[in-house]
Amino acid sequence: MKLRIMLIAAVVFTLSQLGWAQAANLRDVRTGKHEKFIRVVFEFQDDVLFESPEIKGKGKFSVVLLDSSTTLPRLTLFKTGPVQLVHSIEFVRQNSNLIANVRLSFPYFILKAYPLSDPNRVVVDVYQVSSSPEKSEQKESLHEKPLSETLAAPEKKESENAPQKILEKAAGSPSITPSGVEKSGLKETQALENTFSNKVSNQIHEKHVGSPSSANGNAMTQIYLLAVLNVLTAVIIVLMIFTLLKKRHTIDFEHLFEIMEFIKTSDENIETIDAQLKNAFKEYDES
Amino acid sequence: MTDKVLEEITVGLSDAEKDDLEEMIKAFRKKQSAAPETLASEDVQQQISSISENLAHYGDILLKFDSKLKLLYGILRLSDQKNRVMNHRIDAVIELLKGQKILTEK
Repeated sequence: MKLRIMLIAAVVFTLSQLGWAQAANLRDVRTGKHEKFIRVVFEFQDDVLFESPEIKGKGKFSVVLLDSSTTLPRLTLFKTGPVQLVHSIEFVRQNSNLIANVRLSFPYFILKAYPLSDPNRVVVDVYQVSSSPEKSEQKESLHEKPLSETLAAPEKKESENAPQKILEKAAGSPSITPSGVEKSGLKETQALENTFSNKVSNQIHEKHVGSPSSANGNAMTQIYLLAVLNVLTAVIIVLMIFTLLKKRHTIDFEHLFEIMEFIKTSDENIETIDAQLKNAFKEYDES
Repeated sequence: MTDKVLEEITVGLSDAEKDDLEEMIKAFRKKQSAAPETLASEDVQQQISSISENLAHYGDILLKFDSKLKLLYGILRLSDQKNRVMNHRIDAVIELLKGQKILTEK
């Protein structure tokens, strides 16, 4: 009996923990060419944590999306052109994390990653540079004030200029932007590189929390609600077990009562048979 | 089931057989009293009357045995019935004791 209760408790505990271990679901990835950079956006259903993107070689970088999963295809190839500079995006699962390996059609670049909310996104801006930037492998953080200022504008632009500059991954439509943009973009990125090289000289190895303060608040509320839910579930289950045990005891007592009744009836029967036997013996003796 | 089988068993003489036997005994006694003395010799007549008397006597004994046998059968049936009830009662007591033991263990 105790073993059964323990098993039930273990199952309930395991089920309740599933709520805590829910992975963030990556539902969309899109790329878009902006004036000075190429933007790769990972859109999630829930809040997500991520590690700063790492440059993996010429024209390659990867982002580790912590505790995430996706139903998107493992490998997405893009038809590269003047406006589509992302060659492919590949997703690799590593334990509970999802690694996005991005291949670009140009070798040298610097990266800048930051999270956005509503909907929850991880945005990686790729700034193309002309030569191998030793320093540019360093990562940028949104928390630095000047950068956040510069980033607010491009994000707005993402939605505003979407019809012109953002390429959805499925769309292989031809470029609308003028051909001069690439050259001017290069010059701008070189200028940007100079500004970044000063800012990003200190490598930031810490993991970024992929949700802003409001999202954090929401997450905390969710966690508290889950905890309350768990406690309530536990109370309900304890009450159910208690009721079941009580019912079983009642059934046991009812059964015993029935047996007692049967014994009483059989006693009466035996008395009647004894009387009949006595009479039969008397008759036999008399006959 | 068993009770039905027991009820179906015919113990001793049936009612018709008993009636026949009683009739026969009466007839023997009647013949003995109203026997013709003219034709047969005296010895033969005596033998016949003694045989009839014996037959009537044995008939009576048979009837007595039959009634006793029936009474005995009734006793046996009651004893068997009592045995069955007692067995059930013992089973119930064992179950009761087991139940009490389980409850005290809990």
